[in-house]
Amino acid sequence: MPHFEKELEIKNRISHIFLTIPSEEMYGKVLPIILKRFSSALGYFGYISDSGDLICPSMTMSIWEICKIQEKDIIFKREEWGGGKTIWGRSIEQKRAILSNESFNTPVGHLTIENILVVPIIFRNSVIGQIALANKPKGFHQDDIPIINDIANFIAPLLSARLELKNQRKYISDVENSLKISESKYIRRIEFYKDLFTHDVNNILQSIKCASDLLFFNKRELEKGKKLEFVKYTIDRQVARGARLVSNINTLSKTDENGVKLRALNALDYLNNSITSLKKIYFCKSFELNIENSTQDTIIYANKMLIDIFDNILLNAIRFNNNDCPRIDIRITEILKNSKKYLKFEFRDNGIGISEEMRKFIIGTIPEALKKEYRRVGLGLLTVQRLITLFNGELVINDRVKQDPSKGTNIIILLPKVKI
Amino acid sequence: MNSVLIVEDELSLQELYELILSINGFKIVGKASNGYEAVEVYKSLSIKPDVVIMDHRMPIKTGLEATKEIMQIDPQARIIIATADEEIEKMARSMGIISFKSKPFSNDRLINNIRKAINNPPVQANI
Repeated sequence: MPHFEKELEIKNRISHIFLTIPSEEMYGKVLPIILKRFSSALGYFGYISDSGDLICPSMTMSIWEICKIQEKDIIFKREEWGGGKTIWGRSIEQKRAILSNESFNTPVGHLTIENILVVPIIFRNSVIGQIALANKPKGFHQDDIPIINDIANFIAPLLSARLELKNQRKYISDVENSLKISESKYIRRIEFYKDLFTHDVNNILQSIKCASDLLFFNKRELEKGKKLEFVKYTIDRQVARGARLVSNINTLSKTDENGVKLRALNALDYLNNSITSLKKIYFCKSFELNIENSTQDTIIYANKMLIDIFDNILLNAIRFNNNDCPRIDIRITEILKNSKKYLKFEFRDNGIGISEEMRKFIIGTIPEALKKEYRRVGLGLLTVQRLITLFNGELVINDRVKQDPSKGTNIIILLPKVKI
Repeated sequence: MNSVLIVEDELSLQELYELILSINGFKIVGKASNGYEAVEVYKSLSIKPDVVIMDHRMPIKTGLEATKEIMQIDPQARIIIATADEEIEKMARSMGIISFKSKPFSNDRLINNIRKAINNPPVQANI
């Protein structure tokens, strides 16, 4: 067969393999064609990975069984061959074919190498792979170099397309996996919120149903026992609670979106607005509220959802309180922590307190929140925790009386101050 | 006068149950805001209540946990679970509760269930 026909036939066979074998088996099928062309006994055909390592899938199909090196691998880390340490490393770094007809010192168990011809596969000036041939009976000749270069140049666009396809498949697979993970997290989070929402709504409906049945069927008894106002007031409170629940769900769904914009605002204005709302909701119940403010500057970085933090804390302090006259003491100070200025709010109440278990849950991460056993907590403090995190602040929940959660809670909030 | 122990962490509901039951002639012998308190109050009562109305999702100890403990102390206890968590019904019934009510329910149904519970023998637990 004439020389050019022989080369053409080799290229046709290589193309056919590239087109018909989509897996990494392709490397092991192409290599024997080239080995035969150069009458070589051994060799490899591999590609350069994204991290710069040389990966030789053909090895598992040719020399794997006969090589006796322990823990052999088809991945050759760049640091093992880079910097001119090996002939194949030099070939890749110098972007040229190199031959040697001298035998090599190889590790114990390694196949004997009597001679070698290595060629980089270069596409658009980047080395994307390599072919190595070894143990040609009479050694390699300089004339072999243009022939192996020609084969490497022919393979280059085919290999590039193959690697590109592999990268695309990996990218798609990574995106799909990442989507599956996010979707599953999202569904679990939605389930969690749905569960809390359903529970709270059913309790609100139960209170309203009890109260309305009493008004409808037992009005006379209520009037007699002077309980009519209490029942009407209970309905108002439950309606306000329902509105707060809806607001919390809205807030939590907004904070699930990517990031929130923060701006400078006066935290004291928001606190005062929240106190005004509280007084309207609990107009029928007496409670004591004291504010001690030792700072003039109450400007912080937050956004309008700051009101949700104060509303939830204040409402909880009264709602979860068995005392005839609930008491809330608010203390506002300025502190320096890790060279940053914070506005510190302390809300001390005489309510039923928050158990250690609940504290860990509220301060904890979302995966903790997904644990079924922690569903006893309401959405209120979860919303507070979520917002404070978004505002780059801190939430600490302590006992009002140390180590006695039943005597009430001391909720501490740190919110970053605006630098002036 | 038949007696009732109310276990409910929603204070407004606790107050409303008390009002409804008082109007309907029941005596409230105790109130608790969580499962732990419920067990303690139950243990402390020298004359046990005819019926316990028990919420489930509460701080410190759930209604089911408290039910299990109360049934161990007193297998004759008549417990009505009144909860917003429907999915616990099977588990609750296997503990020997006398009735299960999913919130929201009417005052009439609550009263009828309490009366029925008082007139019926306690249920045998199967766990």
